[in-house]
Amino acid sequence: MVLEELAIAWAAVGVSWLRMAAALFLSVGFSLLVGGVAALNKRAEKIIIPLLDVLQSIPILGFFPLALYGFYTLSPAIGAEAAAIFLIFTSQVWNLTFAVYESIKVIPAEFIETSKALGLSPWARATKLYIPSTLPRIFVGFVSSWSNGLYFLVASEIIDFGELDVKLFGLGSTMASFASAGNVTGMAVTLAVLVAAIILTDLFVFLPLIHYSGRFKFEATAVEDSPIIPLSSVFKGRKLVGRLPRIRFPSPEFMLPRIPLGWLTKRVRFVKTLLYALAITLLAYLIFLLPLLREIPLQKLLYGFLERIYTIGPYNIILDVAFSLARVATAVLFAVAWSIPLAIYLATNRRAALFTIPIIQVAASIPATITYPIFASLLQGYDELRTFILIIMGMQWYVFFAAYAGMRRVPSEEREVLELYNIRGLAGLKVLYLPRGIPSIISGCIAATGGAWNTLVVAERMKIGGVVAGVKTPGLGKAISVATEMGDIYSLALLVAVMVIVIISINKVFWRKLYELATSKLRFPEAT
Amino acid sequence: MVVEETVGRLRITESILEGRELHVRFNLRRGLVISVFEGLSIQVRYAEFLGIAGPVGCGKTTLLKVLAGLLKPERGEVYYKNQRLEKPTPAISLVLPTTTLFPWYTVLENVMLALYSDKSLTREDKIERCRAFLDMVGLSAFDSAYPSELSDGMKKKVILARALVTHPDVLLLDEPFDNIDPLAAVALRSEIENMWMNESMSPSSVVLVSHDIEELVELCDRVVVLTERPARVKEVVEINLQRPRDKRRREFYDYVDKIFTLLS
Repeated sequence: MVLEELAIAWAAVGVSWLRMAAALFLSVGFSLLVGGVAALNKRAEKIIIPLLDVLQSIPILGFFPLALYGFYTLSPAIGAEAAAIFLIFTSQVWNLTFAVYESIKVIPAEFIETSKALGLSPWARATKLYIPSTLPRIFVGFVSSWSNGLYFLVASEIIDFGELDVKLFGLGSTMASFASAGNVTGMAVTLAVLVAAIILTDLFVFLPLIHYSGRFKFEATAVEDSPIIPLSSVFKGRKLVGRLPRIRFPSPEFMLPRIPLGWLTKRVRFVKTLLYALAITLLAYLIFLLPLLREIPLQKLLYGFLERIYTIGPYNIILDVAFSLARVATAVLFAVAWSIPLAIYLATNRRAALFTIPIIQVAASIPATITYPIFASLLQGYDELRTFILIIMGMQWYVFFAAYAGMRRVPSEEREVLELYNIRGLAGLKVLYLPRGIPSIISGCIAATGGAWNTLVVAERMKIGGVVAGVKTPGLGKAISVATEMGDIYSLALLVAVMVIVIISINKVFWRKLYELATSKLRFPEAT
Repeated sequence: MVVEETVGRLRITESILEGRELHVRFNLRRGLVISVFEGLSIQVRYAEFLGIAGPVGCGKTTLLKVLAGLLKPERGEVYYKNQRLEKPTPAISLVLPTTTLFPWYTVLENVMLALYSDKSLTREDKIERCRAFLDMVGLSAFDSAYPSELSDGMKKKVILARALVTHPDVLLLDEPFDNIDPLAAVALRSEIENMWMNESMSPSSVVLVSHDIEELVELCDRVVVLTERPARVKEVVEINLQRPRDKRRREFYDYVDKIFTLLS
């Protein structure tokens, strides 16, 4: 019996992994092109960077039904598959594009001058200088892109959009069908296979790539902080098993998306961003609705959109936003509350960290979405609790890893000062650890807030097979989920636009201001 | 003047700070163990200015960290005034080559960190005392400045003020004049020498690690020359020259040559 489930689970992981790899491949191409152009062309930079900043904060799940609809209308045969890959792509790509942009930006000027002095053609310069210089950051970015993609993979495999019921074979659909059949063994086996696949991919694909790309780094890194395990020695060594336990996991900074926050804070303006965001939202909808335009004229489409503001009602929209906001805020507070003490404890107790960090990393790499079916049946009567759990599972790790990375970056010289003057415990926290950690805790909170909004679309209400599990109270995610199921494009567009406005406003008005305030108060010269 | 009389200063051979049979090893990576000391012993006497010279990477900084109680030796003990030293004490101050000032604190607040865990002083007392030391190193106008607004030389002075504000008996200096401009270094050197010679002021003894042999001959009563890793004491050179020492004198260079020969 178990063997059968094991076979299904491995097959499902294999298919899903292929989907992920296809999306990652596209992401690399896109990020090299767009990130490269942004880094090399000043005029393009001014447009692309604020645009990317908006795109990376957009709730992907809100757009997915539209993408699905668009792709499906184009080609019913491969539409669903293309839409799934597209969704995963949009969750992986921004982080990598920023990585490419940043890598090319920091190439020391003398390298660029030398390449010009040598008379290299643009193509030669791209392949011999620009692309190699981006590899370290791209490969590091793979780790967080992959886990981001996993999160949306599950959602992309099963979706009900109006009359369109899509079910692609893969991890998400396998988990869902085991869940609806009440097959506990199947669910457990799928989860175990997923964890094994994640660990194997990290160990045998991403870490060797990161290790390999070390040679393309311009800056030398200190041995102690080097996040790389010499996996090459594992491959060469005959005693593979004997060596594996010595492998060090990558430093947890890798789990975080790379967003040049300090830079963005300075350069991107709020109102402009908001306008950008709205334009993108509407544009995206129009693009996906192009096939529809053959049947419905544009005026009617726009009218339908505006009409929904009236039918849903501003009061209900505000109520939805307020409830969702409260859920997100609670989740962020919760994550901060446990992350800071644990991060400090682990950052100062290397031995404890040695065991704990790899466990946390594996736990964090399990996409929360795959556990949705389990929680849906487990916590049937406790809607708010289940929603809370699903939200925090999707975002709390950002806060923890950011806090831990911040605490770990405290230079040993500064710790020695504390030791020399006998400053311990809470005093040390106040004097050194909190000031050093706050900027990265805030950037962790930004990532977590974005993650939380994204989870809302599934956390507040989800439908798996015939089972609907959702909150009774209002919520923006719930409203989006309902609109998706009814196939109501107009409401969907409106609600997603509202969510984009809320996300960007919180990001710009609250978090980035806080970040700015913190870094200037703390006198960090150029915080990253 | 006290300054001219100093060559006749009382020499006490009893040690104030002593490392006995120190063993220190570092595990760098798997299988790679570096043995820094295998039974190194060193004495710092009362009221002495002791220099430490040695080849690059022989463990001079490690030795100072051990003597400050910051680093526990694997075997062997450190004795301060004949008491086992278990952890850092305000009586022994350490100045490391990295100028570690917390960027989010002002100059004054950074100096006050040294008195942070001193419960016997009120906040006003601490501020007053720190201001006095900042005044001494010539930074009284900068107490509300932030470290990022200071030059490297000024940062060194802040570190020095922070090291002295606890009234230490022993001051351990690790390459304190490295990376600052030569003129500032000259001023700082004479500042430290004057403080040490003033018997009513702390510190009583100074230990100076430096790769600048002239600097060692200019300031020290004795210079301990260490060997390569694992470091042993190769020789202790006593420097019998009148203070303030004149770099242009032949005897001065005889000492420099002697230490140079020992090192090469």
